[in-house]
Amino acid sequence: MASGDTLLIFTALQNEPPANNYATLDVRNQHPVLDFDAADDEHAVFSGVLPQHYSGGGITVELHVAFSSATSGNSVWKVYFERIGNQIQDIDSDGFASDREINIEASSTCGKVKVGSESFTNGAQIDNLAVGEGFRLKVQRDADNVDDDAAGDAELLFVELKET
Amino acid sequence: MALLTEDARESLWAEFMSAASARRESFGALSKQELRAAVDAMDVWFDKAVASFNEAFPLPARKELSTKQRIKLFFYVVKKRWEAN
Repeated sequence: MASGDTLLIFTALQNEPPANNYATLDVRNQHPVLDFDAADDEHAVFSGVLPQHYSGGGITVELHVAFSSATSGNSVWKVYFERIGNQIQDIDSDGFASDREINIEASSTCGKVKVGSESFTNGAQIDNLAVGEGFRLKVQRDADNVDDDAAGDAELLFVELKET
Repeated sequence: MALLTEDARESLWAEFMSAASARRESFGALSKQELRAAVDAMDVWFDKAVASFNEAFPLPARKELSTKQRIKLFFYVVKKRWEAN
């Protein structure tokens, strides 16, 4: 697998909302989006299986984000991996690894989507996830972070996972 | 009437942003922290203005209407002015 090749893509409709503080499904001109509040930390969760063609180079996560109303300011996102694997994670509880942060500034044109990315090294940062293993990816807007100053909802459209 | 609690101000701020987002209404270059400061300032202003607010009512209304009723009347007046502009 070459660096930069796509591993997985998640859309807003694939969200598995957690019980509390979940991002809200919405549509913007019929585009499904997940609304993340500006005042409360909200989450979205996506499930997948790490493709067999992943060759251990680490995973780069890209978030495609628009803003409901902001045309300036920044948003701070946290992304977490949870390895489910083969007899690894007891799914009666959560086991997400430490987060890594992505900053995405609002576009000066409200309806335009911006993309932010962060690289996770192979190993602990992806919760030691291995080829062919199931996993979950949690995306959180860190709304109470001092650097998150974009007013109003942020809208997540797509998540792409690439080989770093 | 006391100042709003921290939780109440936070909830008001969140609700205001959420409602504006649903309408896709922009605040221009205003950051959410600056909007929060405006929420705090409005609450403090109203608290300081309570005495003159009460004095503005004619005596019969001041005597007979409860504080909540006077504030609700104020709310209705502001709402009508907001709708007219």
